[in-house]
Amino acid sequence: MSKTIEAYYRPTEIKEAVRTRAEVDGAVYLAGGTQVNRAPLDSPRPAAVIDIRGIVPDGITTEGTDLVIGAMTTIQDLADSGIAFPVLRTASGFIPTRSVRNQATVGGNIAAGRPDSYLIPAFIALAAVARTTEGNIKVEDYVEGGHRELILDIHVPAAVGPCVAVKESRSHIALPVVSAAVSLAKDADHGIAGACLAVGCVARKVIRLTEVEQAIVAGEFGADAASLDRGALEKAIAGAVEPHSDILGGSAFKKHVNGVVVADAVIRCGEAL
Amino acid sequence: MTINFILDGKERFAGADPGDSALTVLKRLGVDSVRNSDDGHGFAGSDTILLDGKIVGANLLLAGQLDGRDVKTVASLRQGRTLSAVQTAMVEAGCVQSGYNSPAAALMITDLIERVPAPTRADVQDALSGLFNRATGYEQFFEAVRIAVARIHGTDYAMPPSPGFGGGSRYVGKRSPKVDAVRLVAGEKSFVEDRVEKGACILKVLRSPHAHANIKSIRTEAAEALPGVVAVFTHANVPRKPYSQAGQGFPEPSPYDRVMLDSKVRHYGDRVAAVLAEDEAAAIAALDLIEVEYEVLPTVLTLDDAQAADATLIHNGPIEYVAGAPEELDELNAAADPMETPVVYQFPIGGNPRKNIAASVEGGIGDVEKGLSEADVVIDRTYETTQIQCTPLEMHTTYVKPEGDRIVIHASTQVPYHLRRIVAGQLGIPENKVRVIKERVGGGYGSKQDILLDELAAWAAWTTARPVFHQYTRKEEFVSCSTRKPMRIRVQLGAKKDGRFTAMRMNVESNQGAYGAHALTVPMNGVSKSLPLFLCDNADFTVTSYYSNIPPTGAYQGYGAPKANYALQMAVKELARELGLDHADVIEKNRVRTGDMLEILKCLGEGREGAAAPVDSCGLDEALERGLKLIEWGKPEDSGDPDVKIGKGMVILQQGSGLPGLDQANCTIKMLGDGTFVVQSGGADLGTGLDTVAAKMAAEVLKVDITNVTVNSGDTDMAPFDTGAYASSGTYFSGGAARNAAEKMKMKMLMEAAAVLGCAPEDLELVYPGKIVDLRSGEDQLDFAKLAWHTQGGEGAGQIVASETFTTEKFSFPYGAHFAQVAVNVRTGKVKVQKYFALQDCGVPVNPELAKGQVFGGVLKSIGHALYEEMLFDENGVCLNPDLRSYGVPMIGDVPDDFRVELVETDDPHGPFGAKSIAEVSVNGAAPVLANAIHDACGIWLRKWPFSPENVLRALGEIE
Repeated sequence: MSKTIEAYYRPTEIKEAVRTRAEVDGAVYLAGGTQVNRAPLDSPRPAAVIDIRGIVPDGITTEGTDLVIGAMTTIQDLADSGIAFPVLRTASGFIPTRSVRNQATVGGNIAAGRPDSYLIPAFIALAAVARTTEGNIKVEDYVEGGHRELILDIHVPAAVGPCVAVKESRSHIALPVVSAAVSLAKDADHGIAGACLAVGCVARKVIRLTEVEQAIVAGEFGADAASLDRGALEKAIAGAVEPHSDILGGSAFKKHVNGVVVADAVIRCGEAL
Repeated sequence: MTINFILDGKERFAGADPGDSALTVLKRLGVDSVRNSDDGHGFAGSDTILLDGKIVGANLLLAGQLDGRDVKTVASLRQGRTLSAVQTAMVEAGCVQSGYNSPAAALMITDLIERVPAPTRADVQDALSGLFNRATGYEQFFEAVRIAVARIHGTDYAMPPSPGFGGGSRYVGKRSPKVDAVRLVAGEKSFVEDRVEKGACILKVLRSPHAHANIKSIRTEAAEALPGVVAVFTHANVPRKPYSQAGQGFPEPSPYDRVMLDSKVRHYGDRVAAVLAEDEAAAIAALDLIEVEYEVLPTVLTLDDAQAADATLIHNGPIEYVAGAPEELDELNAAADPMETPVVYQFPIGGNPRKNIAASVEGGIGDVEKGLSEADVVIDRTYETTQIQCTPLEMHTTYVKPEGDRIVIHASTQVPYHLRRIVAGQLGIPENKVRVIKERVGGGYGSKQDILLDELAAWAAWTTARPVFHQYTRKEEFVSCSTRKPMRIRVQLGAKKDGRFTAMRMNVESNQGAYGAHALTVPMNGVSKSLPLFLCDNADFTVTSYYSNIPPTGAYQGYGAPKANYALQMAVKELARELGLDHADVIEKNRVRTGDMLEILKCLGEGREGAAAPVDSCGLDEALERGLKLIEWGKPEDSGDPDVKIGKGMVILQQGSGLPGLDQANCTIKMLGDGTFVVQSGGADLGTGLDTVAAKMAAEVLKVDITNVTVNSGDTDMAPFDTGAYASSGTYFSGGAARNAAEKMKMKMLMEAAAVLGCAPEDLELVYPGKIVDLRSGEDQLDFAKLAWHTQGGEGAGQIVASETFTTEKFSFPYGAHFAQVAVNVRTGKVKVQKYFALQDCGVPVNPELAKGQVFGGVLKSIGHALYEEMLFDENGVCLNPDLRSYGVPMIGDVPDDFRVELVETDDPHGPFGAKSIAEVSVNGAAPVLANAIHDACGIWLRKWPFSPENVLRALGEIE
């Protein structure tokens, strides 16, 4: 990272972009730019940017029951899409500023890997897969592994059960203390066959609460999906996260509010199952 | 690199560096209307453009991202001189005040109406979700959208009728556009940054990384040698003349305790050195080359730190007095460090820097101890408030250029004449060598009452003979500005069982920060604008301001009253609860009314002898009656959700109208050759509509169309002296001066006309539109153009010019009653403001729509202060959240669901046409009314700001 951006590349094809990235020390891909350009006085800047507009796909289509989202699709376009799954539209709308949604892209949001991303938890909860220049990879693994390859599009399989995204912030536009998504899958007996709790804002990356997921599936919060034990869920979720104290609040507050809000999301999913 | 794009319909080619923002390139192409309020944080929206038809922030885009695309700015909306329907609607709805990002709002609304033909409230909130507007509180944007939609789609919509304020007046109390609204919404050159000429140098300041340190050494050779650097300034080459940055009347009740650049730093972000360079990059690069060795000192951050017996002293230089030195001065100075900057008091204000006390005062009436002993119930509570930022959209900016043996300062200031005096003093030149031109001000709210950067830029311009542009970054706004003082306020109230007060006591401790601007008057004003709301024979107070190492504090809209009123109104509610009485009944039993005499004010003279004052107009009767009905006081509400509890609250509030006996305003009116008028007002319109007030005063008295009156204000060469736009003085003082000048102009016109017509002045009268009529016959005798011709011809008596002053000893207090309904989620701690009703008495509202906009803005600001906003520091005094989002300003998504402002008209006998102030009073209600409503909802007392979810949960016992 440097103080100023020394070079601006405009490749005409993906191969050229990838090659430039490999050859130029400190170069990063420039999608919408809300992350790369943000707060230049306060943040280190990349040595060079590679503008991928026009060569990486945008737009939203379907392939069978899968939703395919071009990586350069703006978050506003995802929020407005008539074919996108409702949870993705909801999560997109959590970004509180229209002008940022108009500029930021879906691929850029994943690649930035921010712990308070609204989209990453939803993509993880939906088991979305990113098609990259290096092959296909689950969004969860891309984020977890700190991958840097260029994302081309995101394939989102149709959900096999309800999926809910939640956020909580002090004010409408404040940075969140909760950004999470929950999905439940049902079995043949209408029980809970699978659970995914993808939670941001509590660690350096969005994480899954696997122990809580297993306990949900094991029926530890109730055998009937429609009447799960809210108090026990809250306690388990709060106990499963270890957020740091920072300007958004103390650790105890963040544990508590994540417990409450994510538990409510599980309850909603359970009731809809 | 070269970029090629379409700008407002025309193809443009522009050179750009790879790291340039789109905003930089647009500015280079001469686009002024796209502005910077957040240094690329993508928050404030002042940088909005339409890119391929979608709104985005130009400061969040790299210039290269414009290549091959279509860019539209506000210039695309206006056809010739004709505004678009959206722009016209914004002017009519009153949502153009400071106007700094009005062009951005116009683009956002235009985009909305193109996408959504019939927008809902939620659509408007979404469209304006990226617009930070501190001035008007957003509510009037909904009205602007309704008007614009009707115009564009040809549907019927009539604006709600404006109540008939001001009786039979033609302009006063009637709806009319703000006189500068068109140029602001059109994005014309209006602000300081628009005046900067090619070749101007850039000034940047090196700021302290420590909250408290001595500068042991400072080396500037490398910086000075950098190409493009013109000069480097340190404590070694600037004047060592103590001064105060407070823009108050001279002699100031604030200590002179700083110099332009010092060898000691007293807060994180304090000035260390300054670089003047021929471009910004060189200036920034040079800052990095300055080598500073610090001796870090212990920090004093809290009131407890400052009061400790072994506390480190923030100011240990010699204490001096211009007048009234105390007998123990030698003793106080015995251990002073002669190398430190002195602390110079113009007169005694109770300061003792040897105990970190910048100022103090105490006083009272009756016998409070006796009153407390006679009470059936006594409440003794302590409340705390936090440090709050003014956050004007336009960051502090100055442009200073040498002009022969003078300098000209294009300033964004509330106090042009104090600015002139302070700069002249620092430069060691007489005031006639300094001209201050106040440009349009993109928000001030108190922070532009202080001289934060102009004097340093002036020194750079004066010594190098180069034009100098200096603009704060947003981070500098947070760490090196003038902020709301954190306070700890103890309130004791005694009352009989029936609720009648027997005693009131208020002890205010104020955390002043590094320097003493407004150290006495802000906390003192808290007392004088809260205790007089209730009548009690026994009332006393103490006020103590402590130096510390937090960033400087100073004036902020409300000037102490929001904090003291929070404490007092909370205590009244707590007292009512103890007594088992209805809160409204306790207020009613003790509150002030028209005709009361405020004895407590004889102890609250703000640097001079105080005097008891009568209440000659008070609109609380009507405000309370209407407000209690609107909020359905006493009616329980059920959210239908067991997690969400609903509660209601109420408070009363007051402010003043300028500083009687201290303030002075002047105005000159000139008649032009065609019978129109130029009004030269000393008043500093900082976006609030003061120029419109002056225009209305003149048009009303002189019986002309308001378009025949042009106001030229805030230019120290052109307009006569005015103490400035602070202390809610604008309408009352500057407006009063305009009215007085207009009355004098009228008298002169009648005398001149009588001479022309050969009759007595008493036989004539001015009649709208612009005629002089013979009262005896009722016939028109002269029109104004003809009178002007007579006076300005070779045989004429001379151009008619009238100058007048406004001073007074009479107090006029604006009052208000605020009501709120909140929903508290007791599991998440989140507070939602469902209803907020502000009923406000400002006498006769001169500009009703603008007055309402100021109230909406004031209320939303104070909702932000109460619920969201907070400056956070680490243990070393480093500010942790120096940006708008982390700090937590409210946006349109935080506006109450049902948000109403109702103006309660009273006819004040002292203000011009019955007017009182409106500028500040409305910020005094939100904190106590929300805290009271939260208590009503879930039984907790929130005795400290902010009422954040974390603090609510802690009070509920949900977290440790």
